[in-house]
Amino acid sequence: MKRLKTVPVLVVSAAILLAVIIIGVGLGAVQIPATDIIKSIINYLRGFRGADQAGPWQTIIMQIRLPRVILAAMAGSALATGGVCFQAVLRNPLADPFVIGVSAGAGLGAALGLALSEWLGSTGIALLPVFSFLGALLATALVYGLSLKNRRVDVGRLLLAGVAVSSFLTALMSMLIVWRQQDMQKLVFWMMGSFSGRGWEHVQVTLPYLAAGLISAGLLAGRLNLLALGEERAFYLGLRVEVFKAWALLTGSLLAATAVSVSGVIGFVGLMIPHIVRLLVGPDHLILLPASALVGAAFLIAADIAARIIMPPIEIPIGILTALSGTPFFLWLLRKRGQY
Amino acid sequence: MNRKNLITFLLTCVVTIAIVLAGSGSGAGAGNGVQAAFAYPITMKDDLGRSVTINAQPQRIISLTPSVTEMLFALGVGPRVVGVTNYCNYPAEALAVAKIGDTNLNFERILELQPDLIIGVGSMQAEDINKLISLGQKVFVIEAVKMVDVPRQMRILGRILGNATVGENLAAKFESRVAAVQKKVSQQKARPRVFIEIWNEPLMTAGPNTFMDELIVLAGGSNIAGNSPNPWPQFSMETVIERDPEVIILTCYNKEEALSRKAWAGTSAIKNARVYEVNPDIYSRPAPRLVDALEEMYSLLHP
Repeated sequence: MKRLKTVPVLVVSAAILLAVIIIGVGLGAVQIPATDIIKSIINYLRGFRGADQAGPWQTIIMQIRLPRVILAAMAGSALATGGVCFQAVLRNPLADPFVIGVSAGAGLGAALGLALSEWLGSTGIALLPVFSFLGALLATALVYGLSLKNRRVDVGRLLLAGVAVSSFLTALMSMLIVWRQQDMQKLVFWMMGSFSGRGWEHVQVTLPYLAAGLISAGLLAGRLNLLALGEERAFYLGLRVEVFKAWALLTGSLLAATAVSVSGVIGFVGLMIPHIVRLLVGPDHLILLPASALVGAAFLIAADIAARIIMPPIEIPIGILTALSGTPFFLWLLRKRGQY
Repeated sequence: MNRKNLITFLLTCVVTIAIVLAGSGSGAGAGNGVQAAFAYPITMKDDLGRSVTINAQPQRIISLTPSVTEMLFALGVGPRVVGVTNYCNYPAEALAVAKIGDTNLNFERILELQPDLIIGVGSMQAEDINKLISLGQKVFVIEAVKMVDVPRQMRILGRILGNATVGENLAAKFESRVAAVQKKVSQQKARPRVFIEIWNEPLMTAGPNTFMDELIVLAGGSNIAGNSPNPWPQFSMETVIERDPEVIILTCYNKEEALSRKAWAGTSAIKNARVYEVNPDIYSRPAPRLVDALEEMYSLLHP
């Protein structure tokens, strides 16, 4: 397939993202006429913010839908960018941000957060993102440490260690669930991923980590191209391979942990989006990274829209929808693998 | 005005006030509007300790949980309930009310309904309640852990909804029925051992700090899971057999399946055919029907 050029790709991706944001704000469990949507946004910008002045439409749009859509965009770009980093370092097309323990660590962290929430008071629930974030990063550190051989990261060992650590942490999490059945439903829903009930406070908390991760990924982009030539060649071309791999893995894990801490485990985004974008723009990470970020954001917003409008007032956990669309994609990818 | 007109005017005022006061003093449920006019604004502390001020009789009420829905309809404010959860199945009128979600609330729907009062349960819905408050909604939180909380809440909700007399009557009836059961229990010598099955696969029962446990105790029985470490313990069948319940209560309408289990065929309950199916809703919701459950439990334990 003919490779597309950088600028048009980025412009079109940004335009699609914007369109999806608009659709996302316009659709939901409640039917709001288009004119009211525009009026609400204008009123908000003019300063009519109070609950009594705002009316339900404005509150729904500005306090429920808009932050949620923005958060989905943030999580989508984080997961997709993290996926690019992981696929580059692991040089394995089946790699996604959760493969080295991020989701299992986040899940265990979340379960611990819920379990300790009694001791910490009701604000324990608000600590769940913090716990899951730390859990994700600690799990990644553990996997990374286990994969070191002669102080070099062996990619094969990394993947195996990831599987082993993930299983172990998941087992610990299951034990916690058995002990604390009252948390079970909350945790199960969290593990399936959701943007329900998220607001501007989540956006605020997530923003610095996302920014840090995306900037770091941007700085990595050129050198990811080097790494794609193979570790030895990259080394001879001047790349400090071990340091760089650690940096890339850390960036990917940070992005994935950020997404998971705020939305739960949403699979397949980090796996699919880099592949789809790579097919369109080629393997040059200087385009691949920003394009994946934009497309990932748009994709997750679209999934969230579907989650909200398929069976209102019930919201389908978004991880289910991405998994449903991911499996056919996975099979297609496996068939195509010969051409890799 | 001259003196004669002044006296006439004053007399008219006095008579009017007297009639109005007399009207508001009359019985259950009548004269809502008049009662309400004197009752508002009301400021009450909810069960989270928050001071909630209600300026006028709530006309658009949303309930976040089935027990609250039952309470609202029992208090006579059913027509003013505009939103309930998917689980709110009693009374039948509740099924026709707009749905706002289940354990996951749909905030858009809630806002669309423009409620003037939202009532939820504290411990389980704390996060959602905080979210609703941050969206500018008026939320009243109740907490029900023991049977005595039910009449207490009937009174509180009755007052804030403008049906104080109805609430008081409901509460008094509830309490007198509980007292009647307790009197009968005090005359019983036996305290049968009870196993209440919440779920069969895995075998789950009700432990301490649940309504079911309290009902068993109040009805003059002893819950074989009453000293478990958590409220919904998973039991092994061995433990059940070892503790030999005399009465088995099923909550999933699975009597046939339960009777077919060979493992516990030797327990007193199975041998004496004291296995009963009950409607789980009335046993687990802190609502007016909880006393129906108590009376049923008494009749099952002391036939």
